[in-house]
Amino acid sequence: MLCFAAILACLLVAAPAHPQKEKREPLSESQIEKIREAGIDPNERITLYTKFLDEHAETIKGLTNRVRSDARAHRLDGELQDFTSLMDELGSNLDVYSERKADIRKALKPLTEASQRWLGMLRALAGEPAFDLSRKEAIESAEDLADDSKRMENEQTEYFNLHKDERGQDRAEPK
Amino acid sequence: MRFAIPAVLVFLSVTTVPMRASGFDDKVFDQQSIDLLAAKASQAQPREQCFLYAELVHEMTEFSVQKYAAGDVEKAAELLRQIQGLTHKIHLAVAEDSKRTRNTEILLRHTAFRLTGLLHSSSFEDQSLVAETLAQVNQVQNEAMMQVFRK
Repeated sequence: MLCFAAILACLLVAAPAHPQKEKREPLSESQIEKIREAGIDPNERITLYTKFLDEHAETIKGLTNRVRSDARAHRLDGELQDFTSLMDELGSNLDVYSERKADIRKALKPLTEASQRWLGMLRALAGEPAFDLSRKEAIESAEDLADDSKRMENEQTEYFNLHKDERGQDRAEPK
Repeated sequence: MRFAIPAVLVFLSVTTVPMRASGFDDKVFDQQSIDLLAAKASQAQPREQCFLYAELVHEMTEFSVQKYAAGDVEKAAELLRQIQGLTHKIHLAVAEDSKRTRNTEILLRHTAFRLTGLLHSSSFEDQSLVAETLAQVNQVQNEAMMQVFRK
């Protein structure tokens, strides 16, 4: 009984000491506010995500040019994780809008161009052990996003050429 | 025959409307909780927005019922007008996800039930606004239900 109590006490004491993974928030308060203002508008939302991702890409590029240090590597690791999580979030939004047949051609064009740029920037970033995993994950997400964006752009061009009456819609209406 | 299943389900959904306020209304609603939920809904992921806007419509309906009962008819009417704007957002956001859509449909059905109660208890001059709001809520509820059948 005493032994059990001792083990339990050890577990209780040890639990909070276990290092917890830092929870990251890829969007700032003002960016969240802008998303809130965009509300339900698909083009507006995709344009905002593209802009925020561009800002993150600029930060990563800026860090790439700095002298190598532990602080730089740590910062790059975090920035790359944020970048990946935002790209994944945008990818999941694109899936929803695509299912709804929302006309997002206006936002897709700049996204397709930007995602190619991001991919180039990530591939040019020389890997280091401290952020190599984050870099690989970011490249995978950027590849997926670039492919999805390009594919959707083609699909949407074809679809809205065939369904001219649905151009500019936020979702397909039941007919 | 093509419409037999939806017709049966419409019948079942109408006849199984809760006869009294259930777990949905255990919470106390106020302007602050409505504002918080409105902010949460507008910034949520598109997949989540449909249910969150339905939740918002429900909270605003409950608050409107409270305000009407307390004699604040102006505030109650303002909330109903806001609900009408939100039903359009639900319409745009009706999700493909069947579980979320099912939950949205249940919540909207309950909201329609509460609005029907308000329609019967409101004075003649307020009835057209309540009826209009009810019609819009019914419309998006039907839409959510048809989306569930499509799955």
